Amino acid sequence: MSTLVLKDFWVLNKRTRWMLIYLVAMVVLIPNIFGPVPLVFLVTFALIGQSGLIDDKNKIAVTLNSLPLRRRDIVVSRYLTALICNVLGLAIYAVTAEVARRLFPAREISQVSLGSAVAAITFTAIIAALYLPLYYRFGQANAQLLNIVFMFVPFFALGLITRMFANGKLPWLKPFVHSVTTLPYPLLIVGVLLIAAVIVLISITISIGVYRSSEC
Amino acid sequence: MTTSINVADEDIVAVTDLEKKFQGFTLGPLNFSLRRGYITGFIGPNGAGKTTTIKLLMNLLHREGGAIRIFGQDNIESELDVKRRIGFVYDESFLYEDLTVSRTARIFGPHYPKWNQTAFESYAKRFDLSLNKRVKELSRGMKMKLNLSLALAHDPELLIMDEPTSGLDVVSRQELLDILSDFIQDENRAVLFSTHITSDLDKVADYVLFIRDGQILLNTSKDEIFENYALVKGPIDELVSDLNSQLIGVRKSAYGFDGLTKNRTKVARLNLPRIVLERPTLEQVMLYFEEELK
Repeated sequence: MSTLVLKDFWVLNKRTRWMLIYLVAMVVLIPNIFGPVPLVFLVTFALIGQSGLIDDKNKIAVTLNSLPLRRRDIVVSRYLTALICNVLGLAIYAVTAEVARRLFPAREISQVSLGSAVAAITFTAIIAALYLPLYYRFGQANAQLLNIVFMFVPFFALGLITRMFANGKLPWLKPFVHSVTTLPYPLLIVGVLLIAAVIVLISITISIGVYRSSEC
Repeated sequence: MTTSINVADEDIVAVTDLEKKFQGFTLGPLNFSLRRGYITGFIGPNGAGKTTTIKLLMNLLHREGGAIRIFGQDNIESELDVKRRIGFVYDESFLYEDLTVSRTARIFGPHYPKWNQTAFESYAKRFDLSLNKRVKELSRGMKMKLNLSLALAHDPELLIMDEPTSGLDVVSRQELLDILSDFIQDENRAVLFSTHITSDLDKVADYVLFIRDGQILLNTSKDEIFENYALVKGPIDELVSDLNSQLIGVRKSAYGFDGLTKNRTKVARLNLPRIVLERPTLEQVMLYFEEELK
């Protein structure tokens, strides 16, 4: 399995470096009040999308499925790659934000807190969990549109829901938000991580099923 | 028309009633086996079902009927164990174009318990493959050599090759054939070699599987073909009914006729003085079968 993850990073080599440079530049140059979530999400998705595109272009599934490898391991390795990109993006963001804060104390740069770190990781993991089964079903090229949808829709949807909720247009959501916001902080963090883990596990199960039934 | 090879202990692959359906094409039911110690040439026109059969052997396609046993095990139930003992070379490279030869080997190696890095580097050296070159910098022929090096470096018992010689120059093709001859020497291994360049098989194949429209038309040893089959030529007036009934794919022209017989002895006994019997090449055997089915 480690070889499969490693090969994703070998293949993404140059692109990973560019994405990290892009991430650093974005943190330093653009005022960011949203914290790490959007940037970590963008970096992860750009790399996962590229990885899928390269695999499809080289028809690499033929080779991977001919090697003595479990289909399950091939699929799980892609989720691990996504998780590593996610954590790597967050770590780079945290270091860059800290360095930038010291270098440019006057500039407003969102730092990474426990809450924002968990938010970045779970948000990206959940969107990846929605995206990857579709990738295995349709392929990256056919899922281009879906890719764009997954890149932008979550932000618009979240923004819209937040605004509507603030304007009192979603009263049914109030009890839920209230009960969540009154939870003890550690419990809230663990709860969010658990929900994300369950969604990812369901996604992995679906992806394995889709990949096993595919032919190449 | 099919001469089946009996399933025996030395069978490394046994295919029984194998079926696969696509829209407009049905493969099978196929029955054949591959024996240890031999090279089997898999021939047939484009679209006949060669690649589909190979993909079914490798479990890249899902079979709809029948059974495939490799090393005595079901190729799906024991997929990992089976694949650890198979080397594969396909008609395209299906490798990461941006990775170097060395990195490509590092993707393959860890999955094979018998992977031998020294052997890989030795094959690479023999084929003039630079370990630092990217796959995209290699010619088609060199890519095939890379695939062959990857396939041989884990000492497989079965080598499955789908059109490995297409796009290779004469020297490289001969080199490949020499390697296959060496590979088969210990009589414990087998090679399935799909190709449309049948002259390669004239040199190295022990058995021939001829497939057309998803059906196996011929499954026999090359020696049997060369001993029993003959190309028959002669003037039209010698094409008597006794002879005609022995011929496949008869072609007539103003100058005479030609056809293929599966029974050289019987035709020779007809005592027709002006007919000529010649030893056919595999390509000619294939062409006359094709002619017969037109």
